[in-house]
Order: sequence, then C-alpha cells, then structure tokens
Amino acid sequence: MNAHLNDEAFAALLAGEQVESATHHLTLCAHCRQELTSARLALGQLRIASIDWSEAQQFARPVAPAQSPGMAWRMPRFALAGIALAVLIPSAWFAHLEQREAAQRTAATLADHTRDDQLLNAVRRELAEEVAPSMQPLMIDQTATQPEDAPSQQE
Amino acid sequence: MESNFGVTEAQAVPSALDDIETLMQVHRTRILRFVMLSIRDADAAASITQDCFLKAYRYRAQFRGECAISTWLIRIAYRLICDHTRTERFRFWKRVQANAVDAQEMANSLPQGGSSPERHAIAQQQVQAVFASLEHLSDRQRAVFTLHFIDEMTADEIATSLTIPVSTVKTHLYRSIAKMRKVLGAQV
Repeated sequence: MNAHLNDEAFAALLAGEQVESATHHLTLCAHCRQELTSARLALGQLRIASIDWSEAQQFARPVAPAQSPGMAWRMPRFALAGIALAVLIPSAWFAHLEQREAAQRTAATLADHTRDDQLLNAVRRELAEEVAPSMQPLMIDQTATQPEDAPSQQE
Repeated sequence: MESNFGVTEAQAVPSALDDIETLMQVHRTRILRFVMLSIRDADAAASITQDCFLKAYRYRAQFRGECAISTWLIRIAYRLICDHTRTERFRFWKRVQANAVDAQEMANSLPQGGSSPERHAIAQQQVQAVFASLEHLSDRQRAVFTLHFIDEMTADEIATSLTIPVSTVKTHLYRSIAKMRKVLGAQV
C-alpha cells in the first residue's frame, strides 16, 4: 500500500474508532503510525497542560460575588470610551463657546467703560470752568444794564 | 422572567443545584477549561464561567435530571460562548490579540514530570502548536474537538451537551482533525 491514510481514516483512528482497513494500514506504514502517535501524544500533552492551567486558575482567580453577572465582558471597553468621548467632546465645545462669549462680553464692557470715562471727563471739564460758556452772555448783559446812580460799594 | 434558554426563572426547588458553592467547586475547573480552549482568552473565560454558574443557579428549575449536571453546564457555557463570539467586540479583540501569549501560558502549564529538559521543551512546543491551531477551527468544531480530546467525552455526550445530532458531532470532529493535521503538518 503506497498511499498514506486519508483525513477521514486518520480522524477516525485519532477519534478512537476502529477502522479495519486503516488499522491494517498502520501495521504496514511507519509514517502514518508515527504521525498518529505524535498526534495522540500532542493532544495528550495539551490535555495535561490545560487541566493544570485550569486547576491553577481555580486558586489564582477566586470568584467574587457579582452584582451583575457577566457585565465586565458584556460592556465593551470601546463603548465606554465612546460614551466618554460623547460626553467630553460636547463639554469641551460648550466650554470653548462660553470662553469666547465671555471674551466678547469683556471687550464690550471695556469699550463701555472707555466711553463712560470720556463722557465723565468732558462733564468734569465743563464744570471746572469758572463761568460756563452758556452763561457768559448773561454776565456781559448784567454789567451793561447796571444804573449809573447806583451807589458804589466803595462809597 | 423569560430566560434565553426558553424557560421561566427558577423557583425554590431543592436540588444539587441549590448549593452553588459546591457546584462550582466540583465543576468550575472543567467548565473554565472548556471555555478557555474555546475562546483562548483567560479573562473572558473566567467571566463566562462565572456567568455560566450564575445562570445555572438562576434557571435551575429547568434541569430535569435527563443528563448529567456537567453536560447541562457545558450546554449553558457553550451558548454563552456563542453569544460572546458573535459580538463585534470579540472579533475585534480576536484580531488584535497576540495568541502566542496564551499558547505560551498554556505550554508553561505543562508539568515537566520526569522528562528531560529537551523532551519537556519539545512537548511544550507541541502544546503551543496544537493550542495555536485551534484558531483555525470554527466555533463548533473547536467545541467538539475540545470536548472530545480534552474532556474525553463520547460523541453521544457531546451531542447532548451541544444539542446537535451525533452524526453532526462526528462530522465536526473529523473536519477539525483534518484541519489540525493540515495546519500542524509534520509538527504533530
């Protein structure tokens, strides 16, 4: 027999089934015999390793009572990150808008103050003059209309 | 309350399932192993295993004793695994996950026993290779493969656990072995 075991026959033997033709082939073919032995050995080693691993986890990972079972793996981490971004981005945007509005309000307030100062200064200047320009004609008229026989204060 | 297993939530039925602590002590290692080999993610395996026992406790009235408790637990675990692997999140993390880390961790669990360091190193390499090759199997093939070769369950037991026909179990088993043989080549 030249051909080696096909997948079906190999799988049947590895799965523990007795296939007469395949079993007979094994007695004749060292290659298939070696392959089957290696496969059994490797699977046995995986079994031993996995048993040891799971028993080690029994002690390494104590089960904590969970309020909501399975939530840790059900809530995707990137969904949490998305929620965080969905909250942070609008917050940052609104904060930026508020800052801009506050700056505009400050500028407007400064302009108002400047105008108020200018107005106050003008009022102060006018008040500081001894006789207001509007009163000057009145002062001239009073001098002109004074009677000649009016008694002098020096007298 | 309707569960995803199509049953109503358990009433207080006295049974072996009532004592969840004992239940976990007896079966947790086996369920964890099955889940771990199915998804190859230690953290997710621990979560799913815990979820499995909580579901078993919550819906314990469903258990009629028609099969072994371990078979019933594996059925629950398998459905949780299917739910888990269906999520996009899992697919994403599976792509970016460095599988070799878990394979190395699994290989490191292999006890040296009385073998020489060289033989032990070769055995570790074989464990890594077989473990990594599980990646190439479909979810159902991996479940059948794990239950048969790691838990040493018969085709009938696997069929009961996964609620599929025995012929389907055998088909998946054969296909998984063929894939493993192809992937591993001369290593196994």
